[in-house]
Amino acid sequence: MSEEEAAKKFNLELDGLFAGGKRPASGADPLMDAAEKLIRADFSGESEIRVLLRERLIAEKSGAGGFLEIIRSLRRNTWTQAALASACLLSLLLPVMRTERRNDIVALTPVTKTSPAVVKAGLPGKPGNKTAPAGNPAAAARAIAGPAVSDFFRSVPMGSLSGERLHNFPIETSAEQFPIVVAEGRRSDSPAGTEVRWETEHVVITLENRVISPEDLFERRSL
Amino acid sequence: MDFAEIYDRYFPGIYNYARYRVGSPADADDVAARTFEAALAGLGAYDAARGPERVWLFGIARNMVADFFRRRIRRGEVFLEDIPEQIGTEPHIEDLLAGKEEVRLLLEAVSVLDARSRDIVALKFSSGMTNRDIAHMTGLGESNVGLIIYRAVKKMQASLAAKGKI
Repeated sequence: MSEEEAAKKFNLELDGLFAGGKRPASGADPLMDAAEKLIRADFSGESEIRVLLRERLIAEKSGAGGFLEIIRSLRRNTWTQAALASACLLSLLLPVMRTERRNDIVALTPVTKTSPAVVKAGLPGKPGNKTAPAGNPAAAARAIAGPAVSDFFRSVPMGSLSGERLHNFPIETSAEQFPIVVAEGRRSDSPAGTEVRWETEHVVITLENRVISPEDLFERRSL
Repeated sequence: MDFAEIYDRYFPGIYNYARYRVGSPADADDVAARTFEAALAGLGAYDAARGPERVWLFGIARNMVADFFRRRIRRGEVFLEDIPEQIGTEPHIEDLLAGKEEVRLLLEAVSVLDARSRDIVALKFSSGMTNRDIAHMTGLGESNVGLIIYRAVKKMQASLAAKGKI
């Protein structure tokens, strides 16, 4: 019997053993004895992770399965599908919409002078231009960007911006004129510098021009 | 197909395959764990039409053993597949007391095989796959697989006989 024939016969008997059959009663066969030992061998009792690994993987599968079940249940509902499709479409378009809005804002910056942004946007930037009136940002916004951008600019009453009433400022008007009187300009006592004084009805304002050090403004402390 | 059922049915086979291939119980645990983690991750992509789950699972295990040896080589460690590190020539008293001498001798007999023969014998006796499935997995011819198994078992039988166990 050639080796190929012996190998074929051996493998046939081996497959019979795997299929749960019995060995042919043709006498002792040391090769089949060895094969039987290999088939019976089970080393998995040595494993130290078998139980823990099973618990961990099945817990992971439960988590993933729960999520997948939610997705499947969502897919079964037509309205949910439509809502998901809308949400996806919106999330795709949102960056584009934001980019367009940002371009509108950039175009507002050159109201009084020409800048690269204006050149890029192809807008006139000279002061006094009818489409971009200087000194009035809200009007400029309406003129340049149209009504959509004008919503960004609204006139706010000055009273809501200041905490105090205007007439509390020490300079009061008198007959539509500020009664500010320049008293004199004279050299101060400091080593270097001059000062100018304005005298009003209630206060004296002094403008000094002198050299100062940081210590004059800030208190230096050390641990 | 329930993962718990797959795990319970195939863990012994996968562990045995890894044990034949990598030698130590700890490394076999590592390979088995990686195999079932990968199987769990790929369970949704498994297509029964492409082959039985047994072939799919042992294919993963085979890749994990290859990765194991690649990692060892990358780290500059000794190629354990060629050295039966955990299998001594003298029986340990603990093994004898636990009735594990036969296991030790079997592993020792497998360790004398070359890498390809060990892979095929491990696949055959751990999974019970047909020679055709093993041939498909390894890229060898079916008759060649049968011949390799025959020669390997013959060599192992001689090793066991030399120790008076058969």
